[in-house]
Amino acid sequence: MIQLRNIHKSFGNHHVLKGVNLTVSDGEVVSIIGASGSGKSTFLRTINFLEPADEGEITLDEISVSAAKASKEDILKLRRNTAMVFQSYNLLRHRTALENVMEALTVVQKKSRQEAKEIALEELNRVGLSDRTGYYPHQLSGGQQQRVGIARALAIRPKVMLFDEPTSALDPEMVGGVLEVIESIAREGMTMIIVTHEMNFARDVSDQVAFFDEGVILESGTPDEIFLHTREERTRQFLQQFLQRIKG
Amino acid sequence: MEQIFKPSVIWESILAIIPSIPITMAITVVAGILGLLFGFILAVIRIRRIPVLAQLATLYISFIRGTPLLVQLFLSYYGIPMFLRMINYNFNTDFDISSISNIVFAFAAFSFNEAAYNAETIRASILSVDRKDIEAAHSMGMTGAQTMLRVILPQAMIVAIPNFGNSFINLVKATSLAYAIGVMDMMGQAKVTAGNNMRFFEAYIGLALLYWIICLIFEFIVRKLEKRFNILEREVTLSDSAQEHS
Ligand SMILES: Nc1ncnc2c1ncn2[C@@H]1O[C@H](COP(=O)(O)OP(=O)(O)O)[C@@H](O)[C@H]1O
Ligand SMILES: [Mg+2]
Repeated sequence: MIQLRNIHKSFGNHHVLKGVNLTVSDGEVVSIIGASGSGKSTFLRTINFLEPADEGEITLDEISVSAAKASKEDILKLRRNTAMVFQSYNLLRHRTALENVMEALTVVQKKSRQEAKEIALEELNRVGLSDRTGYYPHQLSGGQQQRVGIARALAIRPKVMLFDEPTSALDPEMVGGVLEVIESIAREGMTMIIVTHEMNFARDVSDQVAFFDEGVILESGTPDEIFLHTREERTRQFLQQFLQRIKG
Repeated sequence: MEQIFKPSVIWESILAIIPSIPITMAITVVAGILGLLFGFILAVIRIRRIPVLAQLATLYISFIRGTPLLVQLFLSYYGIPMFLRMINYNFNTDFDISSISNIVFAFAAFSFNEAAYNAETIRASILSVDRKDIEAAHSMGMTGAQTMLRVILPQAMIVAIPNFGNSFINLVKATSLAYAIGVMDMMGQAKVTAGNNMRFFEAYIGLALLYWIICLIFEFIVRKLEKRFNILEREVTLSDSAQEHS
């Protein structure tokens, strides 16, 4: 289980996160939707301390960290038990697809190269990239790079996977394939927090949808509760704008 | 009457100079390696903005870049013994200063000089590493040292190699100044040879040819290394890209 309590974060005097609370049970998939600039990425990044929160509690199973007092060891523990898939893939550009997936296994988990390679090949196969293992990131399309990113995250066997708009940087024709991969991982019971603008995907794959607005989760519930029985006016406006944008 | 220009002496001079190539190479290699090491330390000090040390590093780099290498050689030659004498005096130690070979002062001067120039190259290439890759390393749970060794340095290396190559080749040539503090490197040997037979031009032509050949060899190696390290621009072969669209 992962639990975030009262997360606050400011950049200078810009108060971006104003007390965010979120609880995700094992195997649950949570989608975070909301206008851009509302703090979704910042929130996701406070979970693994890519952005240290100013205040709040982060609990991941037996690891419990108070953001303001986190030690280096606490932060490493959180990072080693979570995996992030980035909007712009963030593959290590000097390593091949295979090496990208192996990296955390050999360097952080201290697995043997042989074992790491077996796991990496298996995960690359799972995302449909068995024929691209020796390619460098710049030799791969965006969709392929993001699938390497997903394989890399899967390979470490994280307790929770964090996705930050995993398809936003992709050409439209690549989006479907990547979403399918994420969906299949979700069906296998991986715990996930996904920031996304893909509303259909969020509706289909999520157990819980959270609407982010101006640094707080304004409303959260099942996909039906959020998309069909919307309670908050702000959420309704956001969803309507979204529909219009897709139609227009 | 005596020949004005005697080509055969060129060959004789070359043969006389060849045994001193290892001295030139020793200075080059020692200064090359120590220069990288000190340069890296200076670069990290400046990037991390470590108080006091960062200011000292900046001052040091400015001083080295703003003074002639020949002057630095003399400072090393006269300054290091003086410094050791002070240590002997103050701490009752007993370094035998007179036994230090001149080449050691050359090692020091060239290493310190290289370090200052490398520091800037290393700093710029470390700063050129994309934040995204560093975040990826952090998100995996790498420690600071692991991130440095596995991500930042390898990527910085790719950027820095052409610069290191050039500065290494410049270093080979610059070591010829070491004769000024009495080191019997290629240059020193050429001077002695010329002094013996009074054929200065022939000796220096021979010397020039030798430096040229050595530099050509290093340039060749540097190009090879550049190619090997430059994975970031390696292209997809035609058959691969055809596959991609299938
Ligand atoms: N490193 C940063 N420094 C300063 N401001 C930032 C930084 N990261 C994000 N912000 C600001 O925080 C707000 C929320 O950003 P973000 O979390 O990226 O929103 P979202 O992901 O919902 O689009 C924005 O106003 C953004 O400009
Ligand atoms: Mg964002």
